[in-house]
Amino acid sequence: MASIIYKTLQLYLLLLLVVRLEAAAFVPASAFQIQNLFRTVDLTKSYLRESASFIIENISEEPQIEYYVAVPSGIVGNATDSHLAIMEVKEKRVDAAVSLAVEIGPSNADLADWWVPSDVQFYKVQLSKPLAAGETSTIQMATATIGALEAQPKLIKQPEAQNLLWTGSKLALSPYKVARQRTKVKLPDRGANAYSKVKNDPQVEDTTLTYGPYVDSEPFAAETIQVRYEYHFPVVEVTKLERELWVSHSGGNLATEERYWMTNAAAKLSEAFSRLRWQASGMAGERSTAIQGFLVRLRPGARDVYFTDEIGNVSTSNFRADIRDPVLDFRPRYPIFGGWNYSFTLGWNHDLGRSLKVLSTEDSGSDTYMLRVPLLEGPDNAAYDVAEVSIILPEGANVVDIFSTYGDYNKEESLLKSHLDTVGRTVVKLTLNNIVDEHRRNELYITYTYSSASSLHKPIIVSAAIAAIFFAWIILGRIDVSISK
Amino acid sequence: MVLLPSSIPQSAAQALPLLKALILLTIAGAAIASRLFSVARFESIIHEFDPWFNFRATKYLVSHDFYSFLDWFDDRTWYPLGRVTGGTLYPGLMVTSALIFHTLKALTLPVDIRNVCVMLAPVFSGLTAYVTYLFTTEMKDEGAGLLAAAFIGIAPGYISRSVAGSYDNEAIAIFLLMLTFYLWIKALKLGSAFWGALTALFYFYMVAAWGGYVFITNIIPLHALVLIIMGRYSNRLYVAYSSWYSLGTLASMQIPFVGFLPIRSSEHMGALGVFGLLQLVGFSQYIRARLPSRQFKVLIMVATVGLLSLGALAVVGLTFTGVIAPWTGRFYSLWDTGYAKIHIPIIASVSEHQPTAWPSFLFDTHMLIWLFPAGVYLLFQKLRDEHVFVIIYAILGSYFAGVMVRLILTLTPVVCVCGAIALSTIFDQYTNLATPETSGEESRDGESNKEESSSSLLNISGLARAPIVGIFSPWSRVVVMGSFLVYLCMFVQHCTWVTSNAYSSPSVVLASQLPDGSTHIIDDFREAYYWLRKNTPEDAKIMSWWDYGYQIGGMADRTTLVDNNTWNNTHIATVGKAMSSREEVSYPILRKHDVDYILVIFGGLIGYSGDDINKFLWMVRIAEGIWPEEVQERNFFTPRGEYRVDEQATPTMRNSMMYKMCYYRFTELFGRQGAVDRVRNQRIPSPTTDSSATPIQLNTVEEAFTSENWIVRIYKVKDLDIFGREHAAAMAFEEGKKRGGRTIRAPPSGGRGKSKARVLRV
Repeated sequence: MASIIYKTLQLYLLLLLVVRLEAAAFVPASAFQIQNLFRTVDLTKSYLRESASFIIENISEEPQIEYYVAVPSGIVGNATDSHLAIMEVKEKRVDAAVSLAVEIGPSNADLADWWVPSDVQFYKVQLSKPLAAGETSTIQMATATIGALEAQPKLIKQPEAQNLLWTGSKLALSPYKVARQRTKVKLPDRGANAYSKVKNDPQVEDTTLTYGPYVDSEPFAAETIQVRYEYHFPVVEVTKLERELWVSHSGGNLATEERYWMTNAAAKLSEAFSRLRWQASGMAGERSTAIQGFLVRLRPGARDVYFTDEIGNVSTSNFRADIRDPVLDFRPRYPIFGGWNYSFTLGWNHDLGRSLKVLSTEDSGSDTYMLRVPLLEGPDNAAYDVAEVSIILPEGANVVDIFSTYGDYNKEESLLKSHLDTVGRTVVKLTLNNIVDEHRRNELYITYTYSSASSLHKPIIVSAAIAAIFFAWIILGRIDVSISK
Repeated sequence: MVLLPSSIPQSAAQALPLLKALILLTIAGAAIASRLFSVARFESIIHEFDPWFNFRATKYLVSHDFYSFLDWFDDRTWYPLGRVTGGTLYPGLMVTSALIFHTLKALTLPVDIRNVCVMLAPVFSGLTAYVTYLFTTEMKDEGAGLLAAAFIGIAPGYISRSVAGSYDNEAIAIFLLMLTFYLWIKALKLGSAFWGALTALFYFYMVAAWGGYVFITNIIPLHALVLIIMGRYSNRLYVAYSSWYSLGTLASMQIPFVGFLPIRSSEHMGALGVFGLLQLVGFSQYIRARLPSRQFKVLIMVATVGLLSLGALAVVGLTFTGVIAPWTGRFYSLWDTGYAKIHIPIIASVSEHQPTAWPSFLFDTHMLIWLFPAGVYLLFQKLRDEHVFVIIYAILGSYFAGVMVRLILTLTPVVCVCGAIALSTIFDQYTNLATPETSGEESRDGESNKEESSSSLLNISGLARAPIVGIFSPWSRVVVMGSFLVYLCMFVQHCTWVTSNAYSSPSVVLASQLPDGSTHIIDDFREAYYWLRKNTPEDAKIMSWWDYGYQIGGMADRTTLVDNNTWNNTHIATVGKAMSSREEVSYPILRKHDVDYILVIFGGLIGYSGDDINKFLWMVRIAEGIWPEEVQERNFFTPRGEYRVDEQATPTMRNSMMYKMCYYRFTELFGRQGAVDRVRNQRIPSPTTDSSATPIQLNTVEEAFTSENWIVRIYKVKDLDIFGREHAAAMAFEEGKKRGGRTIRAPPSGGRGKSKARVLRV
């Protein structure tokens, strides 16, 4: 209790200090006003999800195309414990919602107007069309943040429930004035066991707390609130994922192999692990923060599934080979409690035909193909620090283009020699930072050229090599090296 | 080929090499396939204990260069002593796998080093079959060779050490043994220095691969010696032996672990002596050609007596002054089977070092064991130089196989060779249709002419000549051939059964049958080892009994105190003492050795009989060997001399670390019916059923992890108490505080739902 108050005070002091700081160049033009904002803080997953839906009005004289949104700067970049994983802005049109291009706005160094707090990171949003003076538009914004929810207390006994603490503001962070706003906090099924009370707020329903409505809040206005709630699930954090997709034209196969380094970021055990208590709570059907396993839903047609770790087959796991809905029921060797680690490898095969499309064929024999694969597969409710997705094309293929619905990645191309290669195959490696399981809906498109001549390349080389060995054998066998007869 | 009629057409004769190659390939295929039971049933995994060390060493060699492998000082075993690993291992196995691995890598084939190691033994057993074929062909003919190859391919005595995953020195050593023998026979037959050098080359490979090379070091000189005594000295023998010995000994000294042993240890003196003797005999042959026979006799007498006594004196003198190392304990235990039990309990504690029970011979070689003497007898009939070799091998092999169970391995090849010779002789006799007539004609050549006219007449009438009886009658052919075919089928069936049931369990993973007949995998070892690997500090020191040292090093990748290398008896005794003493005695030992975790194997819950309580007496015995005052075996037995773990267990037993760690909180698993140890079928005193029983309390260690079936239990050694108290006192204080606190403290609020929600002031 005391610590929370202390923390809140600290935040205030910080805010006050910041407000008095040096002035700077950048300030978003106060061209907009937000009419009605409805914000949802979703705490049902192991990472924080926030969404907001609001109506913006152009209160300036000119039409506007640029709009700014803001998030606390602490969650951007890799310097801190919590990281922004999703930043999505959509504009609601008459027919459908349109995703808008979002780019990280002016950096902190550029802004320091006396009224702009320095712990804010802007994102510049290009509206789908210029908004005329006085016109309004509906914007939807969604973010996800990894590591923003902390266990409290940090240590729990083995059968004890875990509490997570969310610290945030009751007001949405906005660079513009907000005429009216509400904040709803959505909780897992057992609701909150402690929360900040501000005057009459919040209104409490089963698993939701609602703060507001508040009228006429100034830009960057904030008031810290905290919610503590029971969370009976593990906090899965994949510290590293290496995902490889091997394309083989000769075998008509698309092989996937994923190597995970996983940790459970839930509250740690205050005492040593007791198998006895674990078996007792398992029989009582109690939920636990330990990772006991997870389901990986594979795309239809997955076969030859394997699950191993550094010392062999993970015999506790299973694969349900349903042709339509193949499910990999992965169970680690031991329950992974808070602070414990595990690493493992999953792999499976698909028919290449399902994911490959011939774009054009040419007389020269060089065809253009497009490969469509999911950017990410894997467990639900998981956050990834780093994911490296590699696509290994067949020997002799040339990459024309790569496109992903998830835009923010580093791309590297290299050569890899494997399976009796002589030239080497092209490897495209994408490095993605701070992503969550929701990114599974993103897809990856690779366009490449591959000629039928290069598919004959390897058989010819191998047969030539074998023929050479036999000839050498025959010739050497006929040479007489004896000294005397 | 003998199995086929002699009158084969030209085209078939040309096809014979092809057929032979096909048969040998099929044999190799069968040899490899029958070793893959464990891969098919479980997975591609390294088996048992020693292979885990070899695997770890191979990984080290693959990731480092060869010289740093030879210089490898391993500080992750035998903490805090460490082990000069590079200088105390036979690198042949690791180098072989690393070469294969690098070759495949150079061909850009993506292969895991683990799979190379797992498949090495089956592949080499295929090669062994081929080499045995060559060897037996030298003894008799190709028919016998093919039979021998088929036998060695599937004989359980050899499979026991070469199934897929059994990545041990023996995996390649038997191949090298047979190849060296073949080359030796070849060198002896041809009197060729080239073949002698080849023998030396593969002898070197064998020295690099297995400590059993001493067998070759002694059997070849013995062969030479016997030939000399039989008066069969020849220049061929001189050339073959001299080239093998001089090159082979020099080469073998290049292995760091062997070093100067070939000129300093008693086991190698025989070879040196025979080398000297051969020079003398050779020289005397030279002299004999130039001296009158009477003078020569006197000279020989004087020289023999003088030199022999001089040589014997020198050997004895050098042994006493310590230049030549005396026989080692392991060597004595080969002559006196009771020696190890009295003097070296560590050797005796290993089950594969026990004397062999006679059924194991039948189990491991089946029908070959009774064909074996017949084969030896047939060799005596001809007794060519190379036959003498097989006879010596058969005698030595039989003796050693009787002394130690594991040495059935070295006996198996000669059993296969002799069995094949016997069986092929039988087949020769009974399939050769022309035999009765030709043998009859040869024996009474003179009479045949006279009788011919009359006999041909009588033959027509069918009366005068007696009907064909005995071994030449068609019926006896059918019966003998038929019964041997049945025996062969039974042999194959037996070999497959033994391989499948006895020798294909990885022992790291256990299989059990569920009530519905499906197989359930018990994977507790890997569960616990992987937990250690992922959730303890990288430099954590794990104390366990030495059996699990290699597995912890290989799978958990953590530092161990003792392992299967067993080079330091005192260190093992220290661990034994820590396990068998009271907590107050053990704790200082644990602190002094920086132990972070203790790992014990406990089978009481699911009935796994190879657990630490069953091995416990060996820990006590080994500890007693060093500290006879502090650890006494008799204190662990009840007054009636029983080894018990139930309420009759002695106080010493019940207060020992091992007992406490195995049964800690075990009784709480059971309800009113009481806790039963399913390995020993004894009831563990449980506070719930027996009011006089007190729960086991551990003060200096705390439970860190227990595997799913409780097979592996890991305890964390506590730090010193921050207030400087004894751990027992500290625990008692904590307990008291808890008990006192319970009455005061309000029942813990579950914090369920909004009704209990407290409000945070902001």
